[in-house]
Amino acid sequence: MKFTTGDYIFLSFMAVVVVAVVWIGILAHEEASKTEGAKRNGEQLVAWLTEAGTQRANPDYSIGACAAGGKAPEAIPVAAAAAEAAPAPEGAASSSEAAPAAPVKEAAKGPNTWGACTEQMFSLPAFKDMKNPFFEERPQFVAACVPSDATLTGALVVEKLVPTPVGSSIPFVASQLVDTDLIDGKLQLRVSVCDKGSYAIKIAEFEF
Amino acid sequence: MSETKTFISLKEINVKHILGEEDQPADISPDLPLRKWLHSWLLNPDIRGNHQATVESWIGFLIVTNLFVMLFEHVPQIYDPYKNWFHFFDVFSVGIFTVEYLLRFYLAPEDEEFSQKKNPRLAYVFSPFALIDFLAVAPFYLQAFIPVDLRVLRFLRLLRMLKLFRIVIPAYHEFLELNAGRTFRQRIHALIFPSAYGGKLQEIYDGFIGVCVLLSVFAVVMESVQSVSYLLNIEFTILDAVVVGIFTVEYCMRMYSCVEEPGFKAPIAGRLKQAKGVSTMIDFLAILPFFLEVFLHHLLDLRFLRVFRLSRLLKLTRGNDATQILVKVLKREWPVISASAFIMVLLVVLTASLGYLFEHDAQPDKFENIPTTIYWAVITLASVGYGDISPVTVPGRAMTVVLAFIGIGIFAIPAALLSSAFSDELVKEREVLKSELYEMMKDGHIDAAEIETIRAEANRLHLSEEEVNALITQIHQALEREAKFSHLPINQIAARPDFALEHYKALVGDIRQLGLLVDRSEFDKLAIDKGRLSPDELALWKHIQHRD
Repeated sequence: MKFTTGDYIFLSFMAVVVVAVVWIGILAHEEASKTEGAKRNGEQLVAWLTEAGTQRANPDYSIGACAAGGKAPEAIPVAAAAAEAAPAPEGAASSSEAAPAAPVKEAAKGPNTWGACTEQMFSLPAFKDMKNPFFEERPQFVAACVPSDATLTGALVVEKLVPTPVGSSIPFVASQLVDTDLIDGKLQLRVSVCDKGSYAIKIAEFEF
Repeated sequence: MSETKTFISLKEINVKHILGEEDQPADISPDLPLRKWLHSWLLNPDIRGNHQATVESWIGFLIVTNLFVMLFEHVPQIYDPYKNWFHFFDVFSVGIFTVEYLLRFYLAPEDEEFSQKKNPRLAYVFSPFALIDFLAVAPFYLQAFIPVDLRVLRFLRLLRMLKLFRIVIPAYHEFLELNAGRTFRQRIHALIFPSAYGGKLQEIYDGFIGVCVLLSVFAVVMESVQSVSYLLNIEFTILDAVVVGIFTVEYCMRMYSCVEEPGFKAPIAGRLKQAKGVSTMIDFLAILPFFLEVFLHHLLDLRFLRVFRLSRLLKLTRGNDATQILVKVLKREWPVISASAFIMVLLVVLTASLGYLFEHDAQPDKFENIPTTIYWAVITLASVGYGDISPVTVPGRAMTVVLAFIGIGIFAIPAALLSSAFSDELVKEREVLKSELYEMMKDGHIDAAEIETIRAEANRLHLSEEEVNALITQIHQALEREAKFSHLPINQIAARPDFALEHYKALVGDIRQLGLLVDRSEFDKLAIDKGRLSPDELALWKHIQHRD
């Protein structure tokens, strides 16, 4: 078999094409891995909240801010207190507010509010190093994943599910759990994360 | 290429043989010694009708299944609940592969390749294929004696894939033989485009691309199932990258070697022509979303791009003749279809306008304006009738009744046109085959090359054994008639009314065939515009063609 110059040019071109496809494949894999990382964050949050949900009604529950039954937070760790001192936007309620989950202001983190609970939660060793793989920052809580907003990739969405009256066409209504929401009773929650295209991936629905 | 000249006389024609559907029993004597008998039935590729091809196919299937099972083993959410099933499948596969290895070892003295060696079985054991077979099962037995890391074991199990070489290597050798002395580009062409130089390797290549298409489309479909996509997101990403890599290489090879195709010879113009072709455009669309998704995912809707990957399914239409016939029919009937589409558009606009006129005041939210009423007009005229929007006024309802009746007729036109044109095209193609058969059988026999042509054409036109048989009978009778009358002068035929009748039937048949094969519009133009046929002749022509 004889090779012509054209054959060599074609083979060189093919080599470039294969390298390009492999490179793009690696990029796609990295992006997919980041989405996997975001899912792991969501799973970790679900696992912790589910576990907390079974214990937080006990009077001696240690994470005071997350306790049920009106128990006040006993001790906000130093790290959280320091973070609290830093200026931050008001909560992280809407999709346009895409900053990392910032410490909530005084009004938002009264005893048994979701804001106070997350603040204390993120100071725990299990969550201290949690990072949004897309931005290498602490994952933010957002109202919803919006595909047009690339800053929401890897964000967490926590929604409370309120059952609708019997006979309704939808079984429940979902709304964002905002920092000021009281969590002193049983709550039905849904956790989702935003993927690389800022589409929501449901992690789980559970009782907290 | 050597061509076997097997002549079959017309009296001996066996349609099943021509169509390759003949259940030829294997010519293996039951009195053979057991070893030879077993080899003849199970492993000898040269005996037609034995089980060798079936054994090879099932082993190939088991190897590919093993590959998928190995992939799923890496997903704990799938592997953990079905651990036992995975283990049973592994044991089953190893069992089958071991039996195959031992069988080949036992039958090695009967194998042409080893029978001449001093020690055939030893020669078999050290042959490359046997080493591959051994490596495919050895790790399983190894773990019984030595504690082997599960990951290492899984990696070693990948060696089972090498067993596929048993199928690929002989095909590759055949390919090299067929392409001896040909250039690199010609070889690429032989691999990508169906030709006499492709051989078995081209078939394997086509099958491989088909499997890639199906896998990729299956993955896109399964990605829409949230529970599956959640578990296999990374695997789907890797699969997509691998499949796109394969399709991209295929696209480049097709563009490079297309200049070997007749009609595409010019280096630049030929390639541009190839790139503009429907099937090459489909190939391009099949890989485009992958590149767009990586670079433009913040600008484009990712879900749209993912669904767009389903266009890969269209790649399978390359080998599908029914699709090509449909495209041909659409091209041919385009003026008529576009005319009926124009009438449909007029009717839709008219209906929407009347609907808006009569219903807007009563239902301003539903019949808001003419553009939004178009949806209701189409749903009504196409007889879909979802019922989400419906007229409530008396004039509106009366108008809907009338227009719905008209819509049934108008909207049915394109469907009727297409179906009749499609069946016309099939009839035409069959007539072409009939003429080809006629030409082939004129000399009183059919050779091997002609059998191949008939087989390919019968497959392309989806003709059953009975249909081919009927065609052959018709041609046979026509040939007999021709032989009977061809030597007779017309006055002698006329002297015998029975001869005259047969001769007349033959002539009408010829005219009908002529009408099917000729370009009708061109014929009509010549006959009518240029006055080459008298009105009576034209009427008779149309009558014979059933066009009056």
